[in-house]
Amino acid sequence: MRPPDGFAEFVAARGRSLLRTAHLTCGPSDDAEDVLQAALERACRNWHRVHKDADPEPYVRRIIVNLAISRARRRALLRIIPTHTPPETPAPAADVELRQVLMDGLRALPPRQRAVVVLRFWEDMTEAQTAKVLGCSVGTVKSQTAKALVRLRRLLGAEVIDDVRA
Amino acid sequence: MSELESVLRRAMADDTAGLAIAPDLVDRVVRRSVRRRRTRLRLLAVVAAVLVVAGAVPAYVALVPRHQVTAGETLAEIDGVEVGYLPEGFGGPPERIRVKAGPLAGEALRWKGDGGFVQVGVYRTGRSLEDALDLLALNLGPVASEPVKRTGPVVFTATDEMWVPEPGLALRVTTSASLESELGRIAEGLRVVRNRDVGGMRVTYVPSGLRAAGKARINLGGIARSWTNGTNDTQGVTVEVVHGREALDLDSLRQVPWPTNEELFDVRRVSVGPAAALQGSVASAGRRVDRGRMLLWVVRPGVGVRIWATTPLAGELRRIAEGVEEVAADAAVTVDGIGVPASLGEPSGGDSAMGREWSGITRFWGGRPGEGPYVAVSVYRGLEVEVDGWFRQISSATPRGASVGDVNGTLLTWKERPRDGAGPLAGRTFLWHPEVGLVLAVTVVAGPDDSARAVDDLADLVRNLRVP
Repeated sequence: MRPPDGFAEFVAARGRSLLRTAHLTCGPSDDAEDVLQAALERACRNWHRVHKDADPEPYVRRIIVNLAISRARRRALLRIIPTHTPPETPAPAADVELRQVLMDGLRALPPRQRAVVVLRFWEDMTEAQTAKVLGCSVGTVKSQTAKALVRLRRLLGAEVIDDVRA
Repeated sequence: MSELESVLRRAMADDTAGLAIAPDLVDRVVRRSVRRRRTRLRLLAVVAAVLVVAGAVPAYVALVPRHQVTAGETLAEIDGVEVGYLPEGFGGPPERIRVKAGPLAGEALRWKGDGGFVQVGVYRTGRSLEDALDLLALNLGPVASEPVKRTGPVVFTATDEMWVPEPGLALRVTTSASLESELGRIAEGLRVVRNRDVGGMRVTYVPSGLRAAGKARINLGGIARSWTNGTNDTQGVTVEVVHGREALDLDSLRQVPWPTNEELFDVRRVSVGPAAALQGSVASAGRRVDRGRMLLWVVRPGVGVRIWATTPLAGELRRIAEGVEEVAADAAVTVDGIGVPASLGEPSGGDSAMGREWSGITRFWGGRPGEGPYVAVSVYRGLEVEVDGWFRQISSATPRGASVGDVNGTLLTWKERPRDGAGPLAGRTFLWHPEVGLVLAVTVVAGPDDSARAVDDLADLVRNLRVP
């Protein structure tokens, strides 16, 4: 069971970067490694095709992002219903690091908005590139980005933003 | 770049800095890829063998060549999918076969001609298949082109493609190489119809020779659907579902008015499954004109069915009635047949309501009205829900037109105070009208701190309810 030519090298070179993308787009779930593995399996099966003419990384990243959105939507977690068991991690205290607060805000976004934020601000993709990955229009990317940033600001609260500026 | 974007980038970098891929990731990926591929090849071999056997003993009769067909006309129907276009010379009766695609099982129509073959497959999959990504994940074969949209086609070859037009349904069109250029038009000519559902009931048996005459519609007594034997309409069946107090019991159902001045004569008591029913002859007053036969029964208090058939079909009434069943989405939890997301779990309670020509069922999650935050899904059916402003019968909250979860409808908002005296909660109910005689309502009641999440939950639920 040898991997196809170039596959192991690709995973070694780009695997960590792809895992980071998966981690960010998967939100609050622990699906990142599963999503990465599923995306790589698909790439492996079609390696001769995806590797032949072009860089396979955009292909794999596109699968990661769409799988992450699909899984998150399927969960359709109801956030307002109180659970009978307390959450495993306590709510952020006032003195918690800003990074944690921001990442909690990111994870609280709807899956598609989260994906837009990750692609635009983590992957540094243009609006057109982001639209292509998500299979939507540039206008949708713009509106989703704007909504996500508004929501992040709202979730974080004016106080935190003031701290950032300070 | 704004301050927030800049900080967000740093936070994302920090948050993922410690991640590393597992050392055996490549091995795991390769092992699983090989295993899936072998499974797929075995299944494909089985499918090929089945097709060969089916082809060796053709069940179809002689083909009748016909000229180019206009798109829009229905040439054939299979499991709720109409075929609107076939290439010239492929208009004859098709062979009906069972087909498989990986773990999916379905039915297909297959036309053969001198120039090759056309096959249209329909796979009713349930919740296991929601969009094109799920289809791709089945790894049914080498994929030549992946879909861009959730409903876009997975193209296996130039003569074989498959897509998911709606959750729970996959379509596959396969042609011979000679008809490669026709595949697109055949695929575009397929139309998903629901011509056997009416008012929350599904008519599973319709006598042969009858075809659906239009969609479900408002009738005098309820929501109805008809089947006739074609253009002259000499034979036909109408199934009407009556909701509300008019269908409380058999006596009240019998009082539901008729389209004209017909009356029921020679009434006798029969049964439909375990339910008591009435059957009789329909005729104009004084019995001057024969209007056929009718069978009526109450499925449950608030829901009744009347089947009206032309006299030559009187012998089929009982069989049609036995084949009428309540429609339910293929979901773990349903509310009056409407599938709700599995993640909701079991409801914490329920309620039902009934009025003149409407009935409704509600399920609650997380609590009940007056007991703090909760979510509810309500299903309202009947003639009355077609009337503008009907919702005022169930709520006095302030309405406004709104789009929630990409669906247009009416949003009701209000404040309520739990019985324990805690602070006021904000209530939101979104109602919409997915089909004739049906209104769905999703309610989210949450505290002021959860306002943003409540809005998301409302949209998620609206988006994820499944109308079968």
